[in-house]
Amino acid sequence: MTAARRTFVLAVAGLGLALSACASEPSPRTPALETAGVAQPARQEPGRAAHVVVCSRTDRAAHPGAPAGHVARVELRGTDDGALCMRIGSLADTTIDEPTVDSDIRALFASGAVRDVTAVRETDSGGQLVVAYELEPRARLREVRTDGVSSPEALEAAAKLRASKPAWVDDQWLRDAVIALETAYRDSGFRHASVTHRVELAPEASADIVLHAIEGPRARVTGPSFEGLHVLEPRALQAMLVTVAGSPVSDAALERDALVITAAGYDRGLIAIHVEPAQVVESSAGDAAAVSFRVEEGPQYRLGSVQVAGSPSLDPKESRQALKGLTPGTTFSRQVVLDAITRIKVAHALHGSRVEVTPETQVDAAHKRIDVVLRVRALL
Amino acid sequence: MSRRLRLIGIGLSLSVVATPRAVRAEQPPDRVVIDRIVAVVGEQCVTQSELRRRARPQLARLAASEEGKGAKRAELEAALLREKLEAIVDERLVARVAAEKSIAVTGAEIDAALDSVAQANKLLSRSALLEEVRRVGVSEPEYREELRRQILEAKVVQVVVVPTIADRSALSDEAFRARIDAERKAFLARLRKRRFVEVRL
Repeated sequence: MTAARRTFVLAVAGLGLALSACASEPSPRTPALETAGVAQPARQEPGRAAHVVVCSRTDRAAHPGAPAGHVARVELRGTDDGALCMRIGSLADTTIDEPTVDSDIRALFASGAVRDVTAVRETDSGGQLVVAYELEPRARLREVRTDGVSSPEALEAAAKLRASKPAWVDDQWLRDAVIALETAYRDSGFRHASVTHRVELAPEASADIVLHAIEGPRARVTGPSFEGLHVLEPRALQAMLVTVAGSPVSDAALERDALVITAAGYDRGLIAIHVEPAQVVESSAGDAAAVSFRVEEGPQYRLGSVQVAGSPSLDPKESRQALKGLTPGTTFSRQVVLDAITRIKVAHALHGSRVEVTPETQVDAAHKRIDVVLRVRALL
Repeated sequence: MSRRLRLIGIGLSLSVVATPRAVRAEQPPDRVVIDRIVAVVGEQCVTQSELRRRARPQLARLAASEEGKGAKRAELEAALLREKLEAIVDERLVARVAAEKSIAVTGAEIDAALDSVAQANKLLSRSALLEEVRRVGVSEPEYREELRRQILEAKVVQVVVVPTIADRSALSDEAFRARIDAERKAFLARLRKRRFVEVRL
């Protein structure tokens, strides 16, 4: 009964997982010491620390009757930085408190000065109980250098990284730095650039970080071209895009341009338009890339009826002016609706009132028509 | 020649013996590790005590099982802890995304989840559920925290992962769940690429 009951309860404890519709198999394993390319000061063997800072100590001579099991000394090993003692809560003359030790380890790690912490308890040669935090210090970061970086965009990114360099060789900062430099390359046409890092030890437990880049060719756009256009005009679209002939191929720019084409479709009644991610075909040398956007325009919609509803109202002339361009039967345009909303708000503002305008649309797919209601609500 | 060889041989054997003795001499025989860092996720660490606390119900279940009493217990326990640690790493990655997107979990949402779990297990009340949870060594705050983490992940998946599934209407419920699961794994893999993750078990 007990065993069965226990199994049942454990299922309950794990059942919360079912609440998340997606939790099932464990994630891919993380390789131990995954990014262990970072050089650090020589690791000290546990118990062989050269530097010791005593953070808290009981004067046994003054208190000879201290209870057994009470800590006589709390030490940091592997550092001579006494300021780290301020971060820990464990004290001499108390028993070992595991939550406090856990919190001390987190606080020491959060200081940024240490890469690893192990908390141990032991009895010293005088028979006294000692709690020691064995630290593996990080190297102080002396300098961030680059190697193989020559494009202006990447040099600018590297300069920003230098300005934000941490005090210590920090693994997460290193990863962020590599990603930032890679992004600068991707956004400026270097589609095959690769960035790695190395840490070079320097005197006095410091180190330099070297960001090494292989830039490769900068791909420039030929085109761009469009597929699937019936209503939208290629020349008009080209004028709106930042991806133009001769510009560097940039993933960020391509994403932005796909959104611009979508928005252009909404303003030409193509409310179901779908723009696929841009296709990029590079030349064999990698210095030119043909960019094309594949578009499914879908049906073109026209404006049906237009109504203004809600409590505050404008006089007929003001209403007509506000709804200028919203003519039933013309091609639907999201921008024209947005402009009308702005004019309604401005007209009310001139009367000293603030309103919120919510557009409501009714799509008639059979007749390719959209009825619009602009609902006006006074704001306090 | 033979003397030289012998001396080298002696020297070698001395060094082999001497090194461990030297280390032993400097390490008190009763040195016990109380706690340590078992994983690093970006700027945060996971401690051994947290890992064991979080894995307590599973460890208890293992200890009570036939397998857990056998020779493979240490191996099974290590595998269990490793799996739990990977889950904690994922939680930390997801929690960061949640913070960036201002996604949070309210107490009312946790209460509702407690009621839902109680109902799913045919328990009469929330307090009955919490009583059962306590029996396996999980306190109410710990269980609520566990639920909070799970709800938070579900919310992040809802906000970040689900909108990337374009053809939702064409999928059956089962296919949609499978798709969410696949996209969630891809999402976690992307997060792991962007953050420094090191497991030190």
